[in-house]
Amino acid sequence: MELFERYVHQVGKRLPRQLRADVAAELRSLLADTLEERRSEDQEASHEALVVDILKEFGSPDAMAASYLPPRQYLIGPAFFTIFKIVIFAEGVALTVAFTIIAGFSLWGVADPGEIARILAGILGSFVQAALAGLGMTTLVMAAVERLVNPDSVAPDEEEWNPRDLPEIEASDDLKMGELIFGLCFTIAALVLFNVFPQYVGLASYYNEAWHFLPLLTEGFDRLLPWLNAYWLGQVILCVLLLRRGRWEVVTRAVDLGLTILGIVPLALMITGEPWFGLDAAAMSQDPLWGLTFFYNETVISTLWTLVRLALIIGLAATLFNVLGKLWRFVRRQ
Amino acid sequence: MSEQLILELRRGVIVLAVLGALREAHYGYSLRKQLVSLGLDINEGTLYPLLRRLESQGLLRSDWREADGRRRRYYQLSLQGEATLETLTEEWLGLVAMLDRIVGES
Repeated sequence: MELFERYVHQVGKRLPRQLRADVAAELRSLLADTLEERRSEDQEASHEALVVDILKEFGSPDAMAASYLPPRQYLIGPAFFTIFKIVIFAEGVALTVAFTIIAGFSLWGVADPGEIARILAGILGSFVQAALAGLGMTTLVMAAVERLVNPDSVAPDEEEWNPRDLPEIEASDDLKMGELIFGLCFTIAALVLFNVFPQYVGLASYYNEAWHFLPLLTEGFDRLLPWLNAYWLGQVILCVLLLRRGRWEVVTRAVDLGLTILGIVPLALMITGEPWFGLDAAAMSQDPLWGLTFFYNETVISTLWTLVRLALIIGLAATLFNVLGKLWRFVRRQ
Repeated sequence: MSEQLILELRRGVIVLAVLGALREAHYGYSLRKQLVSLGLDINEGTLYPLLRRLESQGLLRSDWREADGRRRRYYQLSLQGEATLETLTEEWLGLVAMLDRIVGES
C-alpha cells in the first residue's frame, strides 16, 4: 500500500489545501476498491504488480490532480510550467553563484564593517535587480511559447509514467505548528526588544533597596541591527507563509535557504567587526555584588568577549554547513 | 485523427451517461464498473474528478458510508440533477433523431 500512499500524497501536493484531505480520502477508498477487485480476478499476480498497474490506469499525479482542478486561463499553462520552473531555478542558481563570486572578490581585504555593509547592500540590490529582470524575461518568453507551441507536443507521455518512481513521503514536508508559533512569537519579541528596548539588555542586580543595571550592548550593536532586523523580518514572513500553507513547499524552502544565507552576514560582522557588547569595568567595580577590582573586571570582560567570539565562529561554521546541506536538498528536490 | 474525433464525440456524452447511472446511489468504483459493463469505457482519471465537479455544480449529492469495514463516498442525483438529466435526455433524443436524419440520408 506504500505506493498508493505516495501517489495520494503526490496528488494532494498538487491540489489546493481545502481540497486535499477530501480528495485523498476518496482516492484511498477508490484505490483500495480497485485493488480488491483486481486481486479477486487475478490471484497469481504479485501485489506490487497489481498496485503498479492500477496506478498506471489512474494516471500520473500531475494528470490526476489537473482533472480535479477547474479549467483556467493560464499565462503559462501546465504543459510548460515544469519547464518554466526548471529555467527559473537554473537562473537562480547561476545568479547566486555569480554574485557570490563577485561578493568574494569585492570583500577581499576589506575590514571596515561599514564598508562591508555598503558593498553587500550594493551587491544585494544588483542581485534582486538581475533576478527580477530574469524572471520577467523568462515569463514573457514562456507566455509567448505557450501561445505559439502546441502543448500536446511537449506533454509527457502517460504511457511512460512509472509508479515505481513515485518519491517517498517526506515527514519534513509536514510542520510542527507549536514550534512554528513559538518561533514566530520569539522572533517578534526579539525584534521589539532589540529595536525598542536595547538599553534593557544587560545585567540587573538589586542592592541598597534599589535595582542597578549594567547595559550589555555597545554602539557597535547599532551597525548589526539592520542585518538582524532583515533576518528576523524574513523569519516572520517565513513563519506566516508556513502557517498559511500548512506545509513546506518550493517557495518556503527557497525563502528559508535565502534567510540562512542572509544569517551569515550578521554572524560574520559579529566576529570581524568592532565589539558589539561589553561591560563597563569601572561601573562593575562600583557594584558591590561583583566585589571585584577594576583590573579583574577588565580580565573577565576580555575573557568573555573571547569566548563569545569563539562561540560565534563555531556558529558560523555550523551555519555554512547548514547552507550547503539546505542547498543540496533544495537542488535534489527540483 | 479519427481516434481523436471519436474521443471528443464520446467526451460529450459522458456527463449524460454518469447522470443517468446515478439515479441509483453508487460509489466511484461501482459506478465505473457499471458504466464499463454497459459499454462506456471511461478511465479513472476522468470519472472520479468528474463526480466531484458535478457535485460542486449541485447536480449530485454525496455522503460517506461504511460497509464491510471500508468507508466509501456514495454519489446520487440531486433534485437539480434530476431536472438537468431530464433536460439533457430530451436534448440527446432530439440530437439522435436529427443526426439520424442527416447521417442516414447521406
